[in-house]
Amino acid sequence: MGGKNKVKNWVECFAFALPAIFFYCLFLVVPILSTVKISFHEWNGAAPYMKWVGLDNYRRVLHDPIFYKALGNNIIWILFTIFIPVLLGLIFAIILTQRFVKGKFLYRLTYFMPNVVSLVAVGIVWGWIYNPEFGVMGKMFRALGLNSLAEIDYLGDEKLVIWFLLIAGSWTCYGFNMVVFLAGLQGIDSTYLEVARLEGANPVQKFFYVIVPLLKGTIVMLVSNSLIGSFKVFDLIYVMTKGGPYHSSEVIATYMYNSAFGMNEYGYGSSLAVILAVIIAVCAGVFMKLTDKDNT
Amino acid sequence: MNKMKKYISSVMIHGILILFVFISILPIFWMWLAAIKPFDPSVNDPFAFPTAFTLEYIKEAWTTGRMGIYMKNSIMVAAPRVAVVLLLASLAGYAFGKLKWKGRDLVFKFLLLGMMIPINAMIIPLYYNVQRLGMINSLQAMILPYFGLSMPFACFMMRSFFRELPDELVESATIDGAGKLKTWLYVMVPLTKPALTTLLIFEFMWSWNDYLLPMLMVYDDKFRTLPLGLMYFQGEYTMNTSLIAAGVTICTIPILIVYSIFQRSFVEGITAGAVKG
Repeated sequence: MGGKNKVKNWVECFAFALPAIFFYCLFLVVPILSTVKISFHEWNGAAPYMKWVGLDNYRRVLHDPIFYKALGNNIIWILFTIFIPVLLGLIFAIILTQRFVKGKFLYRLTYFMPNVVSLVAVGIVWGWIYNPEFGVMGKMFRALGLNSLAEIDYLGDEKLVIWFLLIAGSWTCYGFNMVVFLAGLQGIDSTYLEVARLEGANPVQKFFYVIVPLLKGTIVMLVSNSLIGSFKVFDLIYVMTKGGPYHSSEVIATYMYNSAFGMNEYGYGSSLAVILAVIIAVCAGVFMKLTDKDNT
Repeated sequence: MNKMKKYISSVMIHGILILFVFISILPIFWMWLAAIKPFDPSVNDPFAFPTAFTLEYIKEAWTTGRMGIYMKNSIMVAAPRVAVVLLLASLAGYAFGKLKWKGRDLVFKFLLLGMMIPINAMIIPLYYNVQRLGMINSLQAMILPYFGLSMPFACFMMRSFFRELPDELVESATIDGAGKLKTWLYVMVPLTKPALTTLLIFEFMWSWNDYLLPMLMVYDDKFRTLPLGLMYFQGEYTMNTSLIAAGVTICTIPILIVYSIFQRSFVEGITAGAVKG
């Protein structure tokens, strides 16, 4: 009798989670497994059957200069977003916790705004800012007397395009970092700062020796978020340049999309997708380990 | 002297803060300005300050530009998507956060794995699965997949809220003779209202701004949602910057209103998702 009740109880409990798990498996787990399967095949998307090619797609990835270009751009994206938006977020969060600052609500409201707007709209806005004909960027440089910088076709220059995309990308996310840091700072016991002040620490010392160590958990979290987010970046680049010109602003996600849905090479696109997923999973795993250690 | 120094640094800091207010809002605000000023093809400078005011472009974008249809589609996609995700996540969050059953944490970890996988990694089979279901080029194609894709984050968030509710609530409800479903509906759901609000706003924002899946699943103009429609709109009217700006305005104003009203919930959601995780 007791055993039967136990089973009944378990079924009842599991039933609450079942619908979520069902859709999760149907639309997430099964597709990811299918991606792995397709990555071992050559397939144009229309043919009724796929040709098994084993590891050929992966071998091709390893000899593909565009893949390395895309990976390099992802790495640039990581380094830049860790330094600029995360650091900006931290600095602004610290400023906004100072007592003398007025109008905190206004700053918090507006800094986060770029984060909630559709990336298509962001892409159009920044496309105009960079526009060689009427863009504000060119005008600004011209007003500053930097004519050589004003002449650049910001989104058409193969060497520089990724950096200008990064500026637009950072614009969308620094407010997010700030909000998270603000929450982290609220959790700090103010007596630490009081002690530092009494000991005669200057603001720079306070920053490096008191605030940063106490915010370690938040910093690790946001750095890993930037890391994973940088590998996921897709919408903004696709909207603004589609990975061009000549693949110069390609990241793995756009290259994967272009290979599959642009070139009809679904097998090759799938192998890129698998590689992308593995990279992110490894990064996330490493950082979860790191944060776990900090918390315990 | 010291007071003077303090005063100067205070002014400088406020100056920087206000500069960034402008950096944050001006790009979008410029678009709104460009949308309400008469278009002059001989100048074609969307950044020039408007000298006259007109609503003609907003109207044209809404009707001939079909932004009205796109907005209707965006709402029709967001409403069922948000409702079902909230319902499923609330049920599952209760099971993972409050009920005790064997294998619970293992199943939850399995669900969390999904948070690491980028949506780009599964769009190829997703596209063909939806095609096999005969739903390509329909509103459902942009709704159904998210019942699964949104689950990891949504469950994660609901679970962390359910866990903080005291166990005694469940116990006393059980003693009063309420079953699990009744306890969930009458005791738990009202208490998790803040979490549900936050999740609602996030899910709505993601749905409203979603671009990749609509681009993949829909090719017929009458099913396009706002971001996708805006993208085609921009390609169609490249020359008329006032009209494009009107499109951007129509797409951004609703979400910014929602954000301004629920600003608190946004911040709470981010902090809950980020710091507790």
